[in-house]
Amino acid sequence: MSNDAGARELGRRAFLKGAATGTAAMATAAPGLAEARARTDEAAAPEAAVAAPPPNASQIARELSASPPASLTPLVTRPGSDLMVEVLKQMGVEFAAANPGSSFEALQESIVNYGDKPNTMPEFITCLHEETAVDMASGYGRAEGKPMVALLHGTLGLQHAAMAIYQAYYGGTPMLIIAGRDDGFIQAHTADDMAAMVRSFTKWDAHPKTLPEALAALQEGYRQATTAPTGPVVVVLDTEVQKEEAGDFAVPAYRPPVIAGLDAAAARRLAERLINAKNPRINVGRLRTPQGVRQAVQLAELIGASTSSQATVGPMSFPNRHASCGPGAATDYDFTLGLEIGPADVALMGPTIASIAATRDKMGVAFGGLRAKPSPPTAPLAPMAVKIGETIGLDAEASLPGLIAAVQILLTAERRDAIAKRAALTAAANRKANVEGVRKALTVKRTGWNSSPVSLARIYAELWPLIENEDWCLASPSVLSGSHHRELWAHNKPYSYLGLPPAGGIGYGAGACAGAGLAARERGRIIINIQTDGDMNYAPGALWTEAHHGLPVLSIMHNNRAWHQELMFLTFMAGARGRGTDRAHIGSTLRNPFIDYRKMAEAYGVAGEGPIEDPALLRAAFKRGIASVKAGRPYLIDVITQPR
Amino acid sequence: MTLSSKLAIVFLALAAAFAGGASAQTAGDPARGKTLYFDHGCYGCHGYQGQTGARNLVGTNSPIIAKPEVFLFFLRQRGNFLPMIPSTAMPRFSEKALPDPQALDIYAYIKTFKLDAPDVASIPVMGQIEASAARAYQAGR
Ligand code: HEC
Ligand SMILES: Cc1ncc(C[n+]2csc(CCOP(=O)(O)OP(=O)(O)O)c2C)c(N)n1
Ligand SMILES: [Mg+2]
Repeated sequence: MSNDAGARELGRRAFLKGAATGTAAMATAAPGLAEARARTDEAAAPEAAVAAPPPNASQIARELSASPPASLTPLVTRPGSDLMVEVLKQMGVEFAAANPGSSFEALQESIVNYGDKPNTMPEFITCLHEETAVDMASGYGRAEGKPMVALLHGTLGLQHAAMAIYQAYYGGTPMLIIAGRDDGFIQAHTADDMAAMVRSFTKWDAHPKTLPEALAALQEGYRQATTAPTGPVVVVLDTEVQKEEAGDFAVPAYRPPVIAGLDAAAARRLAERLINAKNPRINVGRLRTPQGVRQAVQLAELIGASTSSQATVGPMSFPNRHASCGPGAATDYDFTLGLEIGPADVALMGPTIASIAATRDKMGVAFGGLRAKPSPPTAPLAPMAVKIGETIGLDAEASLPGLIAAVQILLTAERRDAIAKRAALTAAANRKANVEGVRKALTVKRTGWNSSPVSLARIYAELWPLIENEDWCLASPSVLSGSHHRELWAHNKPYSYLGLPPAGGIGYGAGACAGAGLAARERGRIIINIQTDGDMNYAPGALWTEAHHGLPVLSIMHNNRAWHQELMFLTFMAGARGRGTDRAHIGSTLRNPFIDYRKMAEAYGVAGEGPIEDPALLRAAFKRGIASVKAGRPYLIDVITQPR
Repeated sequence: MTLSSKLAIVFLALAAAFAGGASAQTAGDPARGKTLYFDHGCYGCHGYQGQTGARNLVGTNSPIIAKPEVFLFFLRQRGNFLPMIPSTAMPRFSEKALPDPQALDIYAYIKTFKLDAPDVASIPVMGQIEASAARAYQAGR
């Protein structure tokens, strides 16, 4: 036995002995407890994670009384993390979602304990997986058009969250990600350049070295996240900065971003053209915030323009049952204004278009090695056949106030009269078109009405009369369940439908619904979640978070007992190869055994019922579910569905 | 002309040729067909009762299900190429994967499908949806 090995063996025995008596000592020596737990520079050992960790050199030395305990962290009266919370409060950050990790223990402690009303603004939201924390920020950010915080534990938390961050980036979803960094504790949890691993799909990141820098970085991060192109940002916060004594350092005031819009002269020019057009139109894509949506409505009403909306495919667009929304009385639009409508749509608009589309080029922002597939070459356009509209590369939402003001100044009484008449015609035509569209849709949706397993159209149809008079938000991606809300429901709120997983990543829905549930809980809203079974199983712990925080999420399982999309792909593939079409279920179905989602919900503390196979039972079940979520209790209804 | 539209034309010509003659096929067994319809994933794109999904198999006057010969021909000729991107189009069902007798069982099963949905007018929920579509927009609702 070498000397070294001998010392290790001796140290280990002494250490274990200490551990055995430790409990008794702890029970009696309460005042010293916190200090005993406090890590010193050297005592911080990676071995902490193993069951019976061998002591490190400094512990051995202490056991042998060779050295006294290193000096303990002195008591801090105004920790840096309190100031961080102060900054989050100033910016109106309502929630910080996290799976706990010691790299942000100081910030977590400040969130839950600091201030007159501790654990509010932000409230700490407990997640069972980092993917859920970031997906929650996505659901919230898409519903509200503003960031909440996701707190991640170092390299590990960032990696668990990576796909969710990637999707937020694709979706332009504003969120403030804080990654804790604890250099010297467990090195595998730390990196010199922590944000590097997600840099190619975040908009902006910072690793501040001092407390003042950290506070400034949080503020700048918030500004970056909310300025077009909106998206996720990362601020890496070292434990030292979170824990340091702030003294009398004053929290700097938050300055909201200054987002450039049309200048007064340009606004006036556009206003004139809108006012003088015979049949103006406004095509609305996705604006940044609910305020932008309100202003788009105001402008359309002032001008008496017909409008188009993307509210049935995603958030922050024009109310789709607004009187102006639809083709209008005539489609000979002579002036079309696009608001955050991409270039493809602009090309369809005809020759006199002005679009105020902000640049949302995903390639433009530090997108690392990933590149979009180049689009195939198209035949050159015949000269003069299509004139692509002018694209004004400015933020539409920031341009609207100036545009509205200019219109208000320029509108004469005579024009107002003409506009009112046109608006009435537009409204009548749109209402007619809308009713006809719905009627036509119903003749298709009725097929399979009495089928068991339950038809997806029936789920959406049965829901509508029950939620129409509620303040609801469809937070789940709907394409895998047939998107039947598009024709059947009215999408009149900025958050009526939150859209697809932006990069098509499955597993997003459950978390996004829980996050939208945070916004809903504060605002007396309810969340409708048509939850596909495949998606549910990536991070089902979102259910516990809903139960724990009283989130009004009604989950209705689209339980087709498969990753059905994949089953169809596979069947086609086998067919093309002329073999084994009866084996395509291998690896693409969730059978043997079936998963019981009511029990899953129950295990996580969410009330529920099912599985329902008889469509006649849906309505009563939905009513129970809606009553439950209106009382602040999440609810899950397992429905066995037709695959598509 | 794309490959699939060429196939469609060939197919329609053949379907017309088949349309005249009497059926030479022995009838399949719908009970066995039900299992096979599930096992080969037909339900995946046509619904368990042929009423939902990619294409209704009920309430159509499609020549493809008018006669077993046409149906068999249709199964064999479909999508006989490897997709470069994943596809949910109607797959090919080769004789090796789904021999004639089994295919005819499926055919017999498909023929039992009926459109059992009530008329729109007799579904109260649909009336409510229509009424809702006619309601005037109110800000904040
Ligand atoms: C991956 C999806 C998919 C699967 C699996 C599938 N089909 Fe189809 N099927 C389609 C689509 C899409 C169409 C309609 C368009 C077309 O002809 O490609 C179709 C068309 C048909 C038609 C013609 C309907 C008409 O109106 O003319 C029949 C009959 C049919 N399928 C039977 C079957 C049978 C039987 C099976 C199983 C052995 C099956 N399909 C499996 C997707 C599928
Ligand atoms: C993270 C991730 N893994 C795998 C896929 C591939 N994928 C696309 S659709 C799908 C099936 C989804 O199943 P489910 O959510 O139950 O919807 P269904 O198609 O059954 O209606 C999968 C696995 C993906 N898009 N994202
Ligand atoms: Mg599924």
